[in-house]
Formats: sequence, C-alpha cells, structure tokens
Amino acid sequence: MSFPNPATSVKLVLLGEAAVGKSSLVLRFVSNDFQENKEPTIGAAFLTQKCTIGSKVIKYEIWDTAGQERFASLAPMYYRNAQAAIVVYDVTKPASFIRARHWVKELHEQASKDITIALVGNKYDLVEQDSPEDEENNMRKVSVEEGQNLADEEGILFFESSAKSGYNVNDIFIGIGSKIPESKVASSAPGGQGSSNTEGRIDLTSNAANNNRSGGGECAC
Amino acid sequence: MGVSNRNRNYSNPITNNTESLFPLDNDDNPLFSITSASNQHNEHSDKVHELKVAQIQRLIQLKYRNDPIKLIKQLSYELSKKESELVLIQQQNFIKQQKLIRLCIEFSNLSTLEINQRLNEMDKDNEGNAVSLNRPQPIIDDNNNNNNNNNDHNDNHNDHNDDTITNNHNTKNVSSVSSLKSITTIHEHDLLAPTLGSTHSQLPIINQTIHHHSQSSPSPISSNWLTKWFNNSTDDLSSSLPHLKRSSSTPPINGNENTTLNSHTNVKVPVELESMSRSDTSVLSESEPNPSLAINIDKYGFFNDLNNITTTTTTISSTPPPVTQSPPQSSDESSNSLSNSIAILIQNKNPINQTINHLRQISKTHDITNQQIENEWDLLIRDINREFYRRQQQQQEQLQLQQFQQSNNEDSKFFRSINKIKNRVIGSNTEDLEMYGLMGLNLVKHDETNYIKLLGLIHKSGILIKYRNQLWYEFSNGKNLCVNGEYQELLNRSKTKSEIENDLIISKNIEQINLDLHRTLPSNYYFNNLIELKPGPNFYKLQRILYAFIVYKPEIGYYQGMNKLVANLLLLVNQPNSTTILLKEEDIFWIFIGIIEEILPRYYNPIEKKYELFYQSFSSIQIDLKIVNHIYIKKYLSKLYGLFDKLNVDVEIIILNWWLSLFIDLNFLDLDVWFKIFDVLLIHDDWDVTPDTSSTVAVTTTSTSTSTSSSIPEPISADDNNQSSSSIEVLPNVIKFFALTLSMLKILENYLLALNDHDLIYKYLSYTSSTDNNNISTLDKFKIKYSELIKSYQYFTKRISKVDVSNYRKHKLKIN
Repeated sequence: MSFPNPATSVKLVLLGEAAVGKSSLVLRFVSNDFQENKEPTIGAAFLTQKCTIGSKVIKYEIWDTAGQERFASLAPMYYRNAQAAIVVYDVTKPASFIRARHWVKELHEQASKDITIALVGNKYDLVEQDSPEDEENNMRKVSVEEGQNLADEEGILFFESSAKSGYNVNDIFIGIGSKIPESKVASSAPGGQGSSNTEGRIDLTSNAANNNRSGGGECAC
Repeated sequence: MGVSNRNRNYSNPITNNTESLFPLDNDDNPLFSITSASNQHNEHSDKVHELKVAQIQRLIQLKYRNDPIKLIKQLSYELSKKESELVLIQQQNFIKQQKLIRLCIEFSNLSTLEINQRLNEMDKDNEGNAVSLNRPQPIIDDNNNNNNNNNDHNDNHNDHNDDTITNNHNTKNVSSVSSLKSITTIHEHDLLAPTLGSTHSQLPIINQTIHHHSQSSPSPISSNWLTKWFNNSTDDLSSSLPHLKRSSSTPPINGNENTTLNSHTNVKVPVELESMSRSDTSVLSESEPNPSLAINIDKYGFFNDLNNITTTTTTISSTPPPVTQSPPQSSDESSNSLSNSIAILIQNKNPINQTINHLRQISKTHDITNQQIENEWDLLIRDINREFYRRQQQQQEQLQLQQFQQSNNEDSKFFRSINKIKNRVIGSNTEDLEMYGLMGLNLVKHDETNYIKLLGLIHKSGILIKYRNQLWYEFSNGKNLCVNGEYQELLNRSKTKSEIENDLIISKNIEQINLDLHRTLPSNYYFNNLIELKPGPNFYKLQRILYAFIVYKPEIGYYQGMNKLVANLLLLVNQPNSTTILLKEEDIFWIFIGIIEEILPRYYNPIEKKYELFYQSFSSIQIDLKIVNHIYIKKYLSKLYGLFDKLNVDVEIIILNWWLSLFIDLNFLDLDVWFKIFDVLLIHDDWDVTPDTSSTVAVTTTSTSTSTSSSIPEPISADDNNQSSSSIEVLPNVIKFFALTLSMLKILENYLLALNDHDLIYKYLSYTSSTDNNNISTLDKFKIKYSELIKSYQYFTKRISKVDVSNYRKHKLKIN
C-alpha cells in the first residue's frame, strides 16, 4: 500500500427522535449547508461523503432515518450491517435524550457487535447564550455531564454540536472515523456486507472488485 | 442620371441613412446634392443645423415656399416619426427577447433528447410552410433604414418587401446571435440578483416574468415593470442615439405587448406537458390574498426560484422545491440549460423563426390532443350523469309503485315483506346518491359500459384536472364517510382533549404534528409564504385536518408522511381549473380518511384476526417487500435483480421508502404524475383479472351483494368472509402497489443499468431533496412519463395474482 489510500466505505446510520436535527447534521457534513425548515425524512435518506483522517480516507455511506418513534420497528433494516451509528438528541429536549438512551441500548443489543457509536447532543447554538447562574430560564435541558455520563457508561463517543452553526459537526465524523478499527473497515466494505438472508447470492467477483477499489487487500476471502 | 442614382440611394437601406427629409416629389431638387454630401450623419436634425444659413434660406425658399414654419413642422414630424419608430423597434426587440427567453426556459424543461426529437418531428411538418408570426409589424416606412437598430429588423421576415429581405439576410445571423447575447445578459443579471442587494426589488420581478410565460391579466406591477424595463433598454439605446434620449422614454403601448405575449403563451396545457406552462394558473386563486410582491410560483404554488425571493428580513437559504415541474431551479442548472438551448438555437440554420415555429407546432399538437382528451372526458361525464339520473328516476317510479301496492293491500304479512323491500330500495337509493361510489364501484354495478370507458380514460390520460376533485371525493369514499358537522366536532374534541383532559396520546400526536407543520412543503406558497414570511393558508388547514384525524383515529395517530399526503390533497383545492365542485377543507379531511381506510393497502393480522391499516402493518409490509424483490423483480426484471445483487443495493429499503412516502416526492416523478398515480390507485381496476383469482376477489362484475362498498371487506365482516381461510385475502390495492413499484423499476431499468453504481442508484432512488450537489442535478433529469408507467402497470397487474401473493406470504420463510 505505497500509493495513497483509496477511500474505504463505512455504513453509518443516524438515529434519534424526530426533529432533533439528524438530517441537518448530515446536510451540514455533506454539503456544508443548513436549512431552516428541513422536510421530515420519510423512511430514510441516503447520502455519501468522504472524510480524510490522517492517512486514511473514509467514505461514509449515510442512512439518515426517520425520527418518529412509530417507525422504530423499521430501524433494523437500516442499521443492519452498519459499522457506525450516530445517535442524536436535542440538548433542549429531555425526552429526546431518553429516546437516545433507548437507541444506544438497542444498537448494542441488535446491531453488529463492533459498531462504533457516537452520542450527539445537537442544537448547541440554542444554549450558547445560556448563563450558568440562571438555570431556570436556560434553554438547555440536558447537561453536558448527563450526555458524557451516558457515553462513558456505554463506552461510546460523545459530542455536542450545532448543525446550524456547524460547530463540532465534522468532528463527529472524524471521531468516528478514527475510532473505527481499520481491519473492520476493510473487511466490511460494502461488497462484503451480504445480509444474512442474501448470503447465498453474493457475487464473489464484485466483492473482490469492491475490495480492490477500497484498497482492502485484506478482504474476507 | 444623378437623380436615378439618388433614387437608388433611397431604396438601398444599407447605404441610405437619410430619412425622407424631403418629399420625394422634389427629387430633382438641387438641394439634394447638399444633403447627400452631409448625410454621413445619421439624423436629419443634424443636417439642417449644419447647413449654412444661406442654404437653409434657399431650402425654405425653394421647398417650403418661403414658409419656415413648414420646415419646422416637417422636421418635427420627422422627429416624432423617428421616435415612434424607435419605440416600436424597442418594443419589438423586447418582445423578441421575451420570446427567446421563454423558448429557452421551455426548452430547459425538456431534456436535450426530447428537444431534438421534437424538433425533428416538427421539421417534417414544417417544411415549405412558412408561418408568418403574428408579432406586430412596425409601421416603418418602406425604407427600413435605421442603421442604429439594424439588427432589430430581421424579424420582419418572409412577407416583407424585397429590400428588407435582402437586408435581413445580411444581418440575420449576426442579429440572432446578438439577441441571444442580450438574453444571456438578462439572465446573468438575474443570476446575480441574490448578491446585488440594491437591485433586489426589481430583479425578482423580472425573473417572475421570465419564468412565467405570461400573466393573462397583467397586474399593475408587471406593467410597471415593463415600463421600468423598457426605460432601461431605452437608456441603452439612447446612448447611441443621443438626440432622442429625452423624448423616447415614453413606454410602449402595453396593451400591444401583452396581447402578443398572451397570444403566444395562453395555449392550453398539453396533457403530458402540463409542466411546460405553469403560468396561466399561477395567478393566485380567488380567495387568497394577493402577495405584496409579484411572485414566482408554479401552478401548485411551489416557488420556482427560492434563491431569488425577496423577503423583508433575512435571506432564506433553502433547497429548490422537491417536486416542481422541473423549473430552472438552481442558477447553475438554469444557466446550463439556457446555454444548451442556445446551442440548439444556434445549430439551427434559421434559429429563431424555426424554433418558434417548432414550438408553435408542438403546442398546437398538444393543444389538439388535449382538446380531444377534454372532449372525451366531457362526453363521458355527461353520459354518466345522464345514466345516473335515469336510474334514479326509475327507482323513484318503482318506489311509488310499491307504495301504491302497499296502500292497496292490507294484509299485514304481505305488508311487512313489502316494507322490507321498500327499505332495501330506499337503502340502496341513499347509497346510490353517489354517482361513482368507492373506487367507482357504483358504476361497476350499475353502469358498466361507462365504467369501462372511465377506466380506459383514466389509464389514457389520468383524470382531467377539472373532474379530479369530484371523482376523488367519491372514489376515496370521502363523500360517503362525510357526516355533517363531524369534522367541526372532531376539531373541538382535539382541543378539549389536549388542553383540558390532558390526553397523553393526543397531546403527543399534536406535538409531533406541530414539529412537522413548518416542514411540510416549505417551498410552496400556500404553505409557507416566503414573501411575507408567514405561514400560508394551507398551513392552517393542514394543521386542523391532522388534529381532527388524531381524534378520529387515536388508535392510529399521526405518522410522518401523512402531512405530505394531506398537503398534496390540499393542493387540489388550489387548482383553479377544477370547475365541477370546489372542495372544502372538510372534504379534504374525508378524502384523507378515505385514502387511509380504503385506498392504502391493508393487511390481515392473524393474531388480531382482522385487517389492519397500512400504517399498522409495517411487519407485513416488510414481508411484501421481500416478495416484490425476490419473486417479482427476480422474475420480471432479472437484469435489475442481478445489478442490485452485484452492487449490493438493498432494493427493499428503497421500495419501503417509496411506499412510506406514498410515492410522493420521488426524484423521478413529477407532481402531475403523482396525482395520476393516485387516480389509478383510487379506481377499481382489476376488471380483467384472470379467472383463477376470482374465487378470492370479493367483488366481481357479477357480484350480487347489496352492499356497494364491498370490494374491500370491512374489518369485521372480513372475519366471517375469511372462514378458516387457508388463503388470507390479498386486497386489491396491495397488487396495485406491487404493480406500480415494478413498473417504475421497469421504466428505470435501463437508466439504472447505465448508472451501474451503488451510491448513485441509492441516491437516485431514495434520495428526495436535492441538497447533494454532486450528482443529483444530472440524476434529476430522468422523469417517468405517465403513459409509459400505465403501460407497464397494466402489464404487471395481469401478472401478479392475489393467490400467488397470498401463498408467498404464507411461505415467507421459504423466500429467505
């Protein structure tokens, strides 16, 4: 691998309560843009973005899912085989934090064992002006400590971010990228990610091609 | 000799610059030598003042019989003539520019391929058939000799005098290019608009007229703008015509211009090309307040160019509308398509005239087809009405007869049985108040011939817009469900439940609805008035309808996606074309209920032993997705199946998206086509199902059931119907969803095979808002046409049998 590393693909799924800013985080990361009234995601949206971390280039294949709790039963379709997940809550909405806790738990139980998870408290811009004395009138309803504690308990990454201002958004993806174990990345390149029920139909040639493209000489042969 | 030379000079428009300063009958006037000598200057006003006093005196003496007033009059006459000429020329120039802009925009809505195809088609029809354009011809004197505006004359073509034609030949190419240039400049201006804060107030308005091909009744604003615009162009011109600067600033005759614009653009919308003219319906409908600024919205109320909307406060950064009729959305795109169309224009030998002719032909052809379809619809609806009233009358007569018999017969036993019959007749009579019934089943039952015609027409063109309101209201079962006053009652209850009783479920739903309201069609004027920065009228209707729904069906509650469905339904109300009935907010509510309860696929829940609604059936839906993928795509779209397999594309996730969003906002579907898809979903159409399925089909043509709405078993009766039910019934609309999904994939098959890329395919198929600039703009181009869709749809409906699906469902494990 003397040549520059080609991009390795990472399937990443975003989970979290409705209107906490999942799509906005992705939009900021992918297009460095922000929209005030982003239409609710139905089902899930697919986006990609490359990200350079040190010497490696990671291509994120992002599944941005619908937030409404009623669609939760569909989530496994999206986080199946994901190597990374971002669980988002809104720092001004305690309920969204409770929901985030559930998501982290579910991911640990249901998703791939080595999934890299980041907990993200979004809408940081709303609490920037909060004064530490006047807690009554503060916008912030979920403290940094609460977030950090949950992340520590579960052994996952933690960020507070603002899709609106762009604060910390890229850091989330860089953080995830640097935490993902290299061998995992290579072996779980998209071609190799046959879902359990399609195992028998995997086209080995395409698998190899994919791995070549993603620089993984160490493909799961 | 000298005289004839001079005469030739006169008739040569290129060399002769003088106006007929002197009456021609004075040809042999010696003064001509003098004026000829000095006529390097363009304007006659120059000449007289350059003459020596003696010469002027001689001029007066000889030509004006010693009357200087006459000379002054003559000069002033000349001057005013020139002025009016200039005005006309500018006006013409302006019209031409407008037309070209319109052409460019019209072409930009088509793909390059479509344009070429159309041009080719039209070439054949067009040869030797020089259509003279009914543009106003300037009443310019025969000499056609304004060399400052030489290039403006070339649209006096074909039928003008010979001199002009030769002249035009010389200048045609140059001038067409130059007019195109001027268009591009306009366009550049318009692209610059967002950055030029100071010019904001004017540019969006220009923009508006550019995008809106016409405004049937020009508002004061637009004429104002015309004046402004005209003045601007006058300034340009007058810089080269210093003498006329002051006097020529009078605006052109607006009426004249407007009629020309209208005559060109007020064509009927072609059925498949409805998207091409969003102008005539763009004027806000009656009850809506007129926005303070002229705005640029399409016929559904979507803002065409979000970037150029001037608001009073902040600039709003948002994406182009998700489903517009592909107007030139982003500036990149429009400039691209503009240059494309210019390239096409230039490629043509006789660019402007030909393309205009082509477009005329195209719109004419579409007008004709359109008219035909409209006639067919009108006739059919008339027939259906007739048949309906005839039937009603018959029933009434029957009823009277029975009453008569009843009064004549005192036998109590017989009386009772008669009474029964009577009740039944009355019962069916009330049901039959609906002409079409749920999914048109009343027609199926009573008026088969017309039903077949109706079905055929819907498959051919979709429901004509003006009948859509009425038909949807009945097809969806909305009319039948509607109970007077209930909607209001529901609204009141939603208020008391959330505010007084603190009903948790209701308030949770309301919370979610409130989160989504602002995010529903944010690029549509009726939902989000970006100009005055306030919610549009439909915003509140949407809110109330959803509030009412969660009280009506608390066990289902609000699902994201319902907001979009209701929003799209509300767009029906804003269709000024619908002449039959105007739907109220309440009616939309009942249509929505009808769609949720009757139209969307329902699934049998074996545990609850009843049919559940679409939104309660996610696990069953997932099974069906597997069936679509591993049975039907594999069987009928094997290449695609192989491709998805090769690229590891999970098509089930993609289809799930389609279904959850009810096909709204897909990259490859225009809103017009979406409405037509629902036309199909709303009508009972498994008419010619193969006999082997008829055993489980609840309604066949021979159905003797007294209930009219029996195609879909009611949840309770379904229990009985399904006996021990070895085969759980697959409802017809499941098959429709299957067939629609497969036909979309079928049409996209080649396109997807060409894409041959994991990411691109996912993005194209599942990504709905164009925020990712990398590839989406090119991907966006491919749109499914309704006619193609319906062709494949018919193909697939014949091949998907309910029994099969039912069996596959039972053996779901074997698929895996």
